[in-house]
Amino acid sequence: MLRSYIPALVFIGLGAIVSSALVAVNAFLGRKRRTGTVKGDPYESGLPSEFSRTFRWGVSFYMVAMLFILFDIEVIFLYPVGVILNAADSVFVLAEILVFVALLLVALIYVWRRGALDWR
Amino acid sequence: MEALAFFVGAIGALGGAIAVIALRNPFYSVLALVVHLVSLAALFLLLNAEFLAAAQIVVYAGAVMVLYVFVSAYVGGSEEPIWEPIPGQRFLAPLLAGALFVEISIAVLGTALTTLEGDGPDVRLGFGSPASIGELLLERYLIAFEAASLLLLVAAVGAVVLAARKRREAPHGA
Amino acid sequence: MLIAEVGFAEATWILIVKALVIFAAVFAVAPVLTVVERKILGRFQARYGPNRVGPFGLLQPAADALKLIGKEQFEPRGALRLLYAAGPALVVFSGIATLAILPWGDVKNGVGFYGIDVSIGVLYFFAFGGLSFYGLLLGGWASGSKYSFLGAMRSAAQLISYEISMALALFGAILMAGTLSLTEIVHAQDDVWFVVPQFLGFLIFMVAGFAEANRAPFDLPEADAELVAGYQTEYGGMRWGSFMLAEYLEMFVISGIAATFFLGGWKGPGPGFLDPIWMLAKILGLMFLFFWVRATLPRVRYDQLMSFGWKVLLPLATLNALVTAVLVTVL
Repeated sequence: MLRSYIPALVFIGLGAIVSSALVAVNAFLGRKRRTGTVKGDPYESGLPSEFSRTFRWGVSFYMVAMLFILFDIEVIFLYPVGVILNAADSVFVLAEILVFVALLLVALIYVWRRGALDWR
Repeated sequence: MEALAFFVGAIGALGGAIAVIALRNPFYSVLALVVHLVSLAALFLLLNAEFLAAAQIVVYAGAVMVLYVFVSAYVGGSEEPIWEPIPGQRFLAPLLAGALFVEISIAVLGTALTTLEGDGPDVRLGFGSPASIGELLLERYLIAFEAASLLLLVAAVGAVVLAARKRREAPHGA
Repeated sequence: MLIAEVGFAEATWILIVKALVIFAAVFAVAPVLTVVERKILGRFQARYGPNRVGPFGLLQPAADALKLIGKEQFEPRGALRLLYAAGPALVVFSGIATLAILPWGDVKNGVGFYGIDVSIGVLYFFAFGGLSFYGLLLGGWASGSKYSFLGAMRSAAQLISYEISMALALFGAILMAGTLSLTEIVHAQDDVWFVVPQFLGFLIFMVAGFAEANRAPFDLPEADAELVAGYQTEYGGMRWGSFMLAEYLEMFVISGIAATFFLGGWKGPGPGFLDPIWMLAKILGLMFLFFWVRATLPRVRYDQLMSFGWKVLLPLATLNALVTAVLVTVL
């Protein structure tokens, strides 16, 4: 059974080779690196660059990430149950799915009404 | 072949886990955690738990770590420690770790080693596939399945409440 | 119900060779697509598009590649070297790894015309597709430029916002087919392509796909007035080319998944050996849609982009899943 994953391994290996080749190729085949005083500066609009990796982001980013986790888990629960719905053909399975999705729909509506989906 | 895959996965999992606590920069720690989780997924796959492996990557590496990355993009690289050390932490931590190690050793030596001689369980066709997981979710773990959706609902409410408080503190975000 | 041999696998050397063949074929097509896109865009704008290098400009991709390779290896001063290189590498890696899942035909003469056909099926796509998130976030974060960082955060938030709609849009087709395996989903469309009963799902998937692949009208990194070039700002040479290559790969894979789930995959009239051709034709047709939309629609604003994903696509996809679930059971 696991042998059917061998092509995936090949693709993963190819991906590793191709991506590292692309990232490194300029160092070997490109022009010699010339360093100037301002060349290494990051792109700016003429002002001295001010950059810090500690930046205070809007709360919306965390909100989106949090909601993404919730709905991602919803999907991962729904997929295996959804797979057997058609074959099972039972109202019980359907009801379980409906309850599950309905609860998350309630969550979505709540989040929406509280304005957490507004980007700011 | 399988032994090779196992050792690659195991080294990735252990190396990632060690790197999480060894690296000083939280951003790198999160990346190491991603490596650890992906390696774990590879180990799950070796145990024929296909769906679990996919879910591990999609949920943990793909979603939970996303939140971690966003949070550590905020705190990452800051020089000062971002938390207050608990008093006695240096003394307590090795003690608790030692206790955990002893406990796990007892568990491992007590049970798992007996199967070293055997060929492992018979894995029937379709084991670990989404359909078999779905059946389990609807039979044995029905309550857990429905409770999960309730839990997600509560989590959504909690996130909104926390975010609303944060928003009052800092009305203008990026 | 159709039960294909889950866990069926050929001899190891066949498995390796077929993966290499698929990879080579896709990488033969991908450069042509770049010039085709520019030709098509040119025609949309009443001009010729590239036509100087080679016949009909067909050698343009080679010229582009040579130019990109000839650039010097550049790193901005504040960059973290390793992560700065890891960013584009991860994006390309995720694009190539997801290629494995596309089905190009049935099992013929004991050889399956697909990379992998496993029970988790489309979850493989989501698992590896999710890794590109780290690629662009790392690239932007490690560049040491505020435009890159801001662009990376925005693109990352965009990616995750649309991923759920994508997964839920496929859920309707999964309910009808009762499987996650892509070959079995194609078999489930013997009677009618899922684009007919699942038209809403198809639309949602394509729209979310545009956003996932960072394409117009959701191509915020290209919005130079706002964020210069987003997470790509500080990249040059083949590292920048990696982001472009990954974009095309992603478009290709998303079109392939859409063709498999909604347009009957490799199905088409004619003998069996035409199957991969049909699949490729459908993928190229869907990619034309990408180019067409790029030439037609204006770019959305970032807040519009985010609220559209959460307030329109996600509820629609959820309702589509609910209604499909009821219909599948009742009918």
